Amino acid sequence: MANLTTSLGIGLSGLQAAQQSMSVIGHNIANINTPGYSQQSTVLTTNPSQEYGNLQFGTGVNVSSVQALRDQFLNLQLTQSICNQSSAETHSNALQAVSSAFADDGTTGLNTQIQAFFASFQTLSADPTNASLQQNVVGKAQSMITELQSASSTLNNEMGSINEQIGSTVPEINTLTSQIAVLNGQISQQINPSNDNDAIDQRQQLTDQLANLVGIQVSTDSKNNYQITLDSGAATLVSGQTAYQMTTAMDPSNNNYLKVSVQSGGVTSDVTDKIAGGTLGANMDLRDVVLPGYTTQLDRIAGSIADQVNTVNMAGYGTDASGNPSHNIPFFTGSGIDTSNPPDANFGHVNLADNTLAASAANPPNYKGIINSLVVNPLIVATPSNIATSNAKGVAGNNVNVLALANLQNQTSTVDTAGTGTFNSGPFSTVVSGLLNKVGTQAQQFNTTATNQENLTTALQTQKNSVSGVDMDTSAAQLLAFQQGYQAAAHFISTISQLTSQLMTSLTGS
Amino acid sequence: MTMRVPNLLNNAQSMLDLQRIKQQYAQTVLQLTTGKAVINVGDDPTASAQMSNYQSSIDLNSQYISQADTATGQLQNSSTILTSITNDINRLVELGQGAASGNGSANATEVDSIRTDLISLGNTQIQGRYLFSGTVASSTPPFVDNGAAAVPAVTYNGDNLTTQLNISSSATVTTNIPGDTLLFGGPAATSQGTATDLLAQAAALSANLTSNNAAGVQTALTNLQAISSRIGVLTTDLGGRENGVTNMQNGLNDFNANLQTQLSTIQSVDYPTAITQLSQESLSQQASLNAMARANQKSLFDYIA
Repeated sequence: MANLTTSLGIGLSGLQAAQQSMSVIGHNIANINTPGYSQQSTVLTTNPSQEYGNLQFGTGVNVSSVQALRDQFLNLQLTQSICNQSSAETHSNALQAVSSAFADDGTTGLNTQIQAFFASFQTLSADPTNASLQQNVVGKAQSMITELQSASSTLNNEMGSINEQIGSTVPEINTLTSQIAVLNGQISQQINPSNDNDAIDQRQQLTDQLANLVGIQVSTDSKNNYQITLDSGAATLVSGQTAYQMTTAMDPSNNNYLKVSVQSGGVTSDVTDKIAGGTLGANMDLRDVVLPGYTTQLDRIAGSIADQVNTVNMAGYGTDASGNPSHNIPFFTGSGIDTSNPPDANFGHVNLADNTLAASAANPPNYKGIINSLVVNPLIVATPSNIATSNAKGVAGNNVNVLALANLQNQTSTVDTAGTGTFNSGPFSTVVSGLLNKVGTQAQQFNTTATNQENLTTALQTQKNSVSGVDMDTSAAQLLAFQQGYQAAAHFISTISQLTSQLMTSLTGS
Repeated sequence: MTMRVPNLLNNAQSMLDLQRIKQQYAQTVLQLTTGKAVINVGDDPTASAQMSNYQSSIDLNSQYISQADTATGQLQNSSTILTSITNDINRLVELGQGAASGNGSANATEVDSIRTDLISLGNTQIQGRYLFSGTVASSTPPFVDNGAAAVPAVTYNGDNLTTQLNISSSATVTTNIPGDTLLFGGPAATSQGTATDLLAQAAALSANLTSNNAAGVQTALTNLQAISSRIGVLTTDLGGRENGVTNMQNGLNDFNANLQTQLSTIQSVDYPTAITQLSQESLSQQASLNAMARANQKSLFDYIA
């Protein structure tokens, strides 16, 4: 039966419940600016009632659990969105940086220099034996090569710096996965794995940071462990309390750039091309696919210009240092340039597989790295009169061959754009502006994607805040309510205490 | 359905929008300071490629315009010499016809000196190059006089070929007249010494005047008349070529002017539009900042205590 002692107990339970609730509210307010914090609240449950005779009497209240308000589905969506956003942003920033190499404003730029080179042949055609005009051709050729090399080295430098970024990202990833594994342990050891709210929030924060760095998939098991795998599923990063380390090693088949592997159970699996999202995925894609695509096109353009000019020059006649007619002189030389006469039908370039110059349908020409070694033939640099202006042996005033050289700029099907050995392009200027367009289009696409992803992430973030964020007004109201509850319970206890004293007084008669 | 909005200042959406306004503002400022509508290739890839193509076309046309200038110069130089040659031929005819009045020997001397003059006209040099040596470029003059009595009287060191210059992507112009076509009337091997050979006819006229051979003088005069019309045809031909080149050049100049205009339209920033945009963005930014600053920062806590 409900007696004074029982009532004291009831009052005490009310007091404790209010006090614990206020403590939780205090925790919320203290963490109002903590990123990733989910607001907590106490779950108050009525104590089981006791039966006296036919009557049920309640026995007060208790705090059955401290719950955090979070939406796990939102969290997973947000993680995914962060992966995509950081990938698009990384792409966009890198392409912005390299697009300056392709800018052409009419005074500097690739197309301008190539045009100026062919224009110098045009001017030479008016006076083929003029020494200063011949020197001018050599000078313009060297400027064109410098411009090509400068564009190529901008791209190569970017690839180098991306490689270094990859090297410094991997240790960060390892640190995060280790921390997540530790938290997994902490959380799953609780009797109720949803209890440790702060650890759960912290783990979510770390997971979001990880998602920024590398594309991941997250799933939860029955003990509330986070299973984290790469977005392609190729390797597991965190499983239960174990974090699998990522390692890097130099890859000699890829310019000694770093390849990334995940070590699990003594097995090292190479995941270099199996990461799609996050900064790491984007950097891999840039370093191994996107930027090499541009350098390959530049190499093809340079190689094709060299081939076409060489073919025409070798067919004509110039004058050597002793005044005798010279023939079969290539205008450009360098490793990978075919200077045999007549040149191979496909302008056979060095075939990586067997290092030969022979090209065929099965072994299409390989232009890789031509730009770095391309030079004007030293013979022509020393004696510019070796430029084959004439098409008649011994007739130095004949300008038919130099007209043909100048007309190369108008010819189509001069560039092997696809690298298959088929020359199917427009004139040089359209191939270059086509490359310019491609770079610009990709830059624009990634910029748009990044903006869209940013919008999505922000919207998800806002939604998450509305579920999990701490609101000052609500906290104040709750505090007020529990404060009054506390005061009321205290008053109740005080009343019971007075009654007890009265009882005591009446019983002892004093 | 009400959405809870916990803390206005930290609202991610507001922050994002503010950053975007600032970014757009910075971009517009950059456009105004550089005068370019397209700063990075990625801002407008289509326009960037178009600009590159326009610029290439303009540069190519400029090459041809410059070549046309060179061609015109060479044609005009040849034209001037042809005029002098025509004058010389007219004087020869005068001298031949004046022999009837008995000035044979004196006229013959002048005919000789005109013949020497014709040879030096054939050896005209412009900027160190012989104008009438065909495609041969050497320091030996194309016409070397061995003396009227020698065989051959004149050694021709040039050739019979013409030189072309490109004046458009599909058109060339012949800029020279080979020396043998000019003075001999055809390739040296077949035309030297014939009735069309101006130098030979001048020598013949001189000889016949000295020896008072009226019939011989007449033959020489007839041939000289024919040669005069031949030179006239060459002059007309040169004039025609010059006209063609000038027309081509004018066309290219007009075309380039159009291309340049179109290029500027894409390339240059439209100042009035950009400035208006700048003030709009500036206003937008100020409004956002103002709104955020004034957002009600009071909470229930301020009123409870």
